[in-house]
Amino acid sequence: MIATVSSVTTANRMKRIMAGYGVTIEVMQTPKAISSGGCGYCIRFAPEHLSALLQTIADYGLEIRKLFHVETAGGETHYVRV
Amino acid sequence: MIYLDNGATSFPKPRSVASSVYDAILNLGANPGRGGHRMSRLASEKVFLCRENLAKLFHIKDPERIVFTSNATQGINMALKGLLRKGDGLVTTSMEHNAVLRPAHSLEKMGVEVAIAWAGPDGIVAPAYIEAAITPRTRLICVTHASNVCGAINDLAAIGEIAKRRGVLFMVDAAQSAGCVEIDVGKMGIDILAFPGHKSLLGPQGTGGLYIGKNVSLAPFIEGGTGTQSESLVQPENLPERFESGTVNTPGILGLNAGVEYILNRTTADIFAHEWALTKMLTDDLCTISGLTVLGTEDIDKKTGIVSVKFEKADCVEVAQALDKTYNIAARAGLHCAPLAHKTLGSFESGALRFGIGPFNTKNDVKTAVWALSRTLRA
Repeated sequence: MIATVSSVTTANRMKRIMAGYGVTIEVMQTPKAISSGGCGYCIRFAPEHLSALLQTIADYGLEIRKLFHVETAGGETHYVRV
Repeated sequence: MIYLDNGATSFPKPRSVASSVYDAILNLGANPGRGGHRMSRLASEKVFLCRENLAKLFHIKDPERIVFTSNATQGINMALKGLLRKGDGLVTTSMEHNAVLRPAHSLEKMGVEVAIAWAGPDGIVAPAYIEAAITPRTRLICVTHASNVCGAINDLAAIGEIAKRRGVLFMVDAAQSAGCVEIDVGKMGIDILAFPGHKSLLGPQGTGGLYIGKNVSLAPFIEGGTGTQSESLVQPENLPERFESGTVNTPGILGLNAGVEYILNRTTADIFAHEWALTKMLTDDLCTISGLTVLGTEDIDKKTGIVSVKFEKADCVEVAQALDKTYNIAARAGLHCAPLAHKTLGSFESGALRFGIGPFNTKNDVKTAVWALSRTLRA
């Protein structure tokens, strides 16, 4: 799954926080298809970590902007808004 | 050289600071927050790590509210000029550096009410004097944590309590304390904290930071690219990017992080104790020399490692030059960019010679400096 966030700083903070709970998330540039401007950052993580992620970052006063499932079919990647 | 000018900038730095800067330039040269490739991502992670360590040091809950600056002066200007408008009031003190006094003077010309609370001859500002200076227009109290002239430490917790009770924001200039005196923004009620990276945080010159509390709304000093929301012509609201337009000083910040890690490992309390012992020795030994007066408080527990003296007859600049040329000792003479502090301490006309003790100074440094000063004054 992918969640867009407000900045690379927020993304890095989420990565550091979740690493403390043994959850690996990846910081990446937001794909153009789901970005309003092409300059932005998001976090990528396994779907099974979604609830833990949302709960944990809320405890730290952080929030995600938009949430997407990533689906690949026919060689194309589709981002489905959750 | 015996370096006793740590009030201006710290020297030497831990070797890890130099190696971190070197590594950043050699191996991590990408622009953090400006792209998705691995070197950029790694650089941004390392920059964030510095925010995280600074947050740990100052007991700040949200590292994102720490904005990197070039020095404390830049942070102070960002805060004062980003917050205060015509009709607002500012309460500050006579012990401030020109980093505060000059922007305050400019703001006064623009219609900001500026009140100065004067410290006593010990260099410490009575919290009651600060409270007495508050008017209905007062929006901000801005206080130096420790004097850059005499080392006197102000009671931030007491001043923070006054600010909270009177509904006024509280800003601290931690230029002489960050890294060598404990700072807890929560317990001290600090809303805005400006600090240099290159003094007691032991980072490279050209680094510093500004903590902006959640209850503080500042207009950005500069606007521009942040690597986010590029489609919008409006400066983003989120911190730290709102205040960090343009490429940050990645090598400097990574060097600063190494300095902060050194402090976290050694602890601020240990550094304070080390400098306290040398400060006591220096003060006691200076008091045995005739023809000079040690400025400010005699209570060593309320001082940092800054010790200044004024001379009855000698010219402080000539004494500093003699210490440098003859004994290879670095100390700083003059008014130290703090004219009102010198007026407070009675040294405005004469100026003073300042010694600034750091975490790597030794007893031998202090003994040699006092011996050299004594010989210089007798010459």
